[in-house]
Amino acid sequence: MTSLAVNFGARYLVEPARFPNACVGTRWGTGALALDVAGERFCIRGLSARQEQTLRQLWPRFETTDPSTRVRIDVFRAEASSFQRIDVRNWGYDLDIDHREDAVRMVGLDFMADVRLGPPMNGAFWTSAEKPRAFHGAFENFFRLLTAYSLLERKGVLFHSAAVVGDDGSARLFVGQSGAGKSTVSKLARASERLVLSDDLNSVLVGASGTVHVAGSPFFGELGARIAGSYPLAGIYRLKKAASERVQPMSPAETIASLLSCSPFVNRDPHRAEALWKNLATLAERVPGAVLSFRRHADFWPLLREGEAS
Amino acid sequence: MRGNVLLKRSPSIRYRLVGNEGVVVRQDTAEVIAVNDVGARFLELVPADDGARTFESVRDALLMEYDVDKDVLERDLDAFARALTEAGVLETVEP
Repeated sequence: MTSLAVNFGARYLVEPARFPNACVGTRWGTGALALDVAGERFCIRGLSARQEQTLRQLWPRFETTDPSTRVRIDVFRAEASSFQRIDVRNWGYDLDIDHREDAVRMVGLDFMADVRLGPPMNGAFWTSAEKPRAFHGAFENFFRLLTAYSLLERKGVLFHSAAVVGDDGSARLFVGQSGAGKSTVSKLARASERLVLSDDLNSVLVGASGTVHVAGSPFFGELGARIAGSYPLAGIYRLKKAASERVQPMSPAETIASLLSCSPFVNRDPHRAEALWKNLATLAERVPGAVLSFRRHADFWPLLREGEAS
Repeated sequence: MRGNVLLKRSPSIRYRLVGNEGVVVRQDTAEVIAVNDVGARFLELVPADDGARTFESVRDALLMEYDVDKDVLERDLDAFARALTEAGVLETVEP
């Protein structure tokens, strides 16, 4: 048994060995909700009335009545006593994740989850949280990971990024580590009345026609339109704060490296390395990448258009 | 770096060639770096898995392939190899 397997869940669970072996349990209720996120339809079942209302209020524009659900998530009760009490003040939240060939398991604050990658993909989510804030936090952490894996399967990738739609109706993706300027870019965009899809996590997919597009995201930090919909991706920009504006094209290797470091959850999964690489290589082939050096209050959009036109 | 130091790529990294450049990923931390054509060639020459190769052997192979001053290459490769070792990309074995 590897040390990871031994330690999995130890940060959050009182008895890590009691992580469920199968996707079964006692449901919270009979509530259900179907969401369409980046073209994938998720059916979430077993919710209490309160949990269902929390998700409906959170993501109303992502609800769907389309019956062709591909991914099913069952929500089960977990006892609060199953989880360690953690002082979250000044604490960096990092999930415990166990990567397997055909599944991924995760443990976090007030929840455990097991995603069987299939196909078809399905998941079990055990939580002790029912109050809106706690349930939202627990479920969204799980749902972010689920979305990342779902996208990977469909030739897409979820990126830590800001995505903004320009005046031409095309989106630009801005990537970079924490502090690189994603929030700043998003705020500048909003100030200039451009549509910010999300300042935190964005879904990028290659469509059937080969066009790369960004889908509206239910996930955001401070800014996000929380709308469904899809926009062609015109450019990928790695952010760099500087004294003046400049756009410097990146090579495909630099573009892939920039994107790889911003592909959360799946970029640490050794079983998904090939699929992630393949999707990123396709994106780098089809969408130009560049380093955008920018100042806090400057309008760099004319530079982007100029660079993309050349 | 002494010429007879043995180099090998760390088992925790994944390395891919993209055109004539390279992308190196530390799987456990998802840290990523892109390397230029000489860096990519250097990494291609350093074995992964069970093999290892001396620093001077890699240097000499690159000298054959690139029109560059030997001292300049040695100095640059030394710095590069040390940086990669510190980053966990390379492992060294003293003879």
